[in-house]
Amino acid sequence: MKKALAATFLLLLCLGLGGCGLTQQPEHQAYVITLGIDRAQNGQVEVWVQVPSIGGGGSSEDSGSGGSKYEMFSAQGADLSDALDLLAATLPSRLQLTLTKSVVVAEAVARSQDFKHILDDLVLSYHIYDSAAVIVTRGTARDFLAAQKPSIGIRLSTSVMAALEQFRQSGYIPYNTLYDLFSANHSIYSDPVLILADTGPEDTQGQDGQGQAPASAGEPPSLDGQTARNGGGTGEDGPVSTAQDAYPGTLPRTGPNLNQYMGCALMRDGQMVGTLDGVSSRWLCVLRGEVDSVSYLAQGQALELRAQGAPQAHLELGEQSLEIQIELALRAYPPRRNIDLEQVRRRVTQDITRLFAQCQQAGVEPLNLAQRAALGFPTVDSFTAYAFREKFCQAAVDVSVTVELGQE
Amino acid sequence: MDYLPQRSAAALGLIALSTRLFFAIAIDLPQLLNAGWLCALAACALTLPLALCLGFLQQRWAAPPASKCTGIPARIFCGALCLFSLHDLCCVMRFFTLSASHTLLEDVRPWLLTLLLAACALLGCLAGVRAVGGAARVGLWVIGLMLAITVLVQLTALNPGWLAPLLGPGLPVLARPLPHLAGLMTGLTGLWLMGDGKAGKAFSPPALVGYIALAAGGLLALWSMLAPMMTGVPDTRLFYFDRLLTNGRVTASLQLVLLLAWYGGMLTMMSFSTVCSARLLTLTVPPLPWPWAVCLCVLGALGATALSLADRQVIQWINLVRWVLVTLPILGASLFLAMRRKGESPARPEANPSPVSPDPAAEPARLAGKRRPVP
Repeated sequence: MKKALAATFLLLLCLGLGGCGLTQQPEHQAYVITLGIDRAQNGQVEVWVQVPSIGGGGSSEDSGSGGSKYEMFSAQGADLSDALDLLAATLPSRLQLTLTKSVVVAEAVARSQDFKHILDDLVLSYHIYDSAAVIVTRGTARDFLAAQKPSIGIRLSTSVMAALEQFRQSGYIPYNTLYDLFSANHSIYSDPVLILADTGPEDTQGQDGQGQAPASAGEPPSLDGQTARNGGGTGEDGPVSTAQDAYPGTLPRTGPNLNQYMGCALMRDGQMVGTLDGVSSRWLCVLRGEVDSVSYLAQGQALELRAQGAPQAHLELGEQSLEIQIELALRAYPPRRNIDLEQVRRRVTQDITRLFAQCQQAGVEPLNLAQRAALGFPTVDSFTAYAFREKFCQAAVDVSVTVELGQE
Repeated sequence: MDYLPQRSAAALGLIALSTRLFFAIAIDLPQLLNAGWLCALAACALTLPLALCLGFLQQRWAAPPASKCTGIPARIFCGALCLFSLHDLCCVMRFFTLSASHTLLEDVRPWLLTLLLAACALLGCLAGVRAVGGAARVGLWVIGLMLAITVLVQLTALNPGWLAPLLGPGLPVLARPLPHLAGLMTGLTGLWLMGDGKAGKAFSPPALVGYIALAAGGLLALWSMLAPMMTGVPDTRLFYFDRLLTNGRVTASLQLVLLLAWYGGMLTMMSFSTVCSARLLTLTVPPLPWPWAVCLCVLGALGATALSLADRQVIQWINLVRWVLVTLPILGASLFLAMRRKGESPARPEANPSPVSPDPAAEPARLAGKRRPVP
């Protein structure tokens, strides 16, 4: 009897405890789908958020499923925390950043020295861990968010994730999340890369069809002084002029989705230092093991190249120098059999060599080679003392590619 | 006095001590970087002498170890173990409260959550040692399944390269927390004192230490392969707890599974510390009834948590020598027993029943997994 009374008392005590607080109505929450970060004219940090307005009765063209429409809010502050505090104070509902799908950063912000602190703030103060992709836009985050529309019948959050997944699978953009970026910035391993994107003009019809359309930023991007567009991308059959070796914002295309994702932003010490175009990004993704199959334009054919096993990297860790040997075995699946595989092999070798040259020139090592090199060192201190990234920038690179014809 | 059956003791020890070791390294020792799993293995290796001695005593006595704790020195030893176990209970309560407050119930006051935990501990442990042991056997399957799901879902995201450089911060840094970690593993002694003392394959202290090394070390290695090691980040518990549950790739649904596994482990750890301290208290003060012992231990832990007594520096220093304080008396007792019975044969078979029953009549029922009818 005493035991039963004690148990009843304790159970009653539990009822009044945690978990039984006020309910959190979804209508009272502002779940951010995309967070944009711009640099305002006055030099302050300007944040933009795109949130669904549940039951807002939006028009059919900017509505997703369930009659939701999407609204944008912004605030400015001396730094990210200031701006987000002001935004939270002025929003009609509670600002929820933890389910953010993507973070869009203007290139001007990404190239600034305080970008690393902005990233740290997002992770440490606002706990945005959950698979939020980080995108650098060559224009402004405001334009990017404004152009971001849901696909027909799909919510915007799903649309964003589906688009990113599609571009990642094709290898045009790297796989990254905010937490990956944060941890890579604080780790001893390789440098991170970000997704490069831009908002294209309303209508690009009438351009020359070779990716020569003027970018929204005005000029083709450069890799720290080097002309990146088609730079080094010449093969036996002349300069490469495909859509894939262009940059976002310059693509000769049209459609309702104005935002274009293509290429990588190279990062060093938490700051953007360069860019890679579509072709280099694809080979970067292949060498990082993120994709194992890419489509490739050669000799007027769109052939599929599949990696046979993981790319092999052999590192000779000398005291003063580093030698890198890359081995990549590919199998080609062309639509027609009359293709010169030797020419394809030379083109791929040139592309990968160009990728290494671009990375070395930018002073970054995004190829996940550092973690392989770390195996040769007993402790973190000894590896750090070796200065792998500096040696990588001076390293001799030998790229060995084999291409054989695949049998379907 | 009810005793913990062997299988229950093994399950309870495996979950509680693995979780204790895991969270001590993953959350409290960020300076170990990616080499925490090596530290877990080393801590288990340090606990091995204690486990071997316990195994030896178990074989020699062939009786519940608690029944041998009658003399004054034994009671003093049990009292010290009780205090260590209470300290463990305080730590678990505090961390449980903080993590629940952080992840789920940030609007609820922490002291309310602590009360809820105390109520859970009381309810579970009042039912007795066997009840807690039985719950641990169920928990072992449930937690194991959840961990298997999380590992399988993230299998492609595991990056073995992030385990390099293998020694992480270097041997001196790895060696520094070893006495503390081995001290935590001395909870094995409390588990042994709760057991029925039968020598069998189900519960062997050295084997249990091996399983703990495998579980804690394996999980720490897997966790290190999910996110690169980081230097120069805040060394707060909350940051590492966040990192543990969400490494940037884990989907929200998987986080729920991880949370359930985490809190399942924490609840088992709390129950273990409660029953362990209560049993040791009844051994220290024999006339004390079990319900009183449980209530005193829970209230004591609540008081110590509320007054932050467990965080005092002096307690931390004593904790550092816990491994020695617990291992030496057990080692001494083993040596004494070994010398006294030198030349004698080990315990007679009838005094040390093997898992296979000598009773031929009982064999079919045992094989069928049924209990023998009690006459």
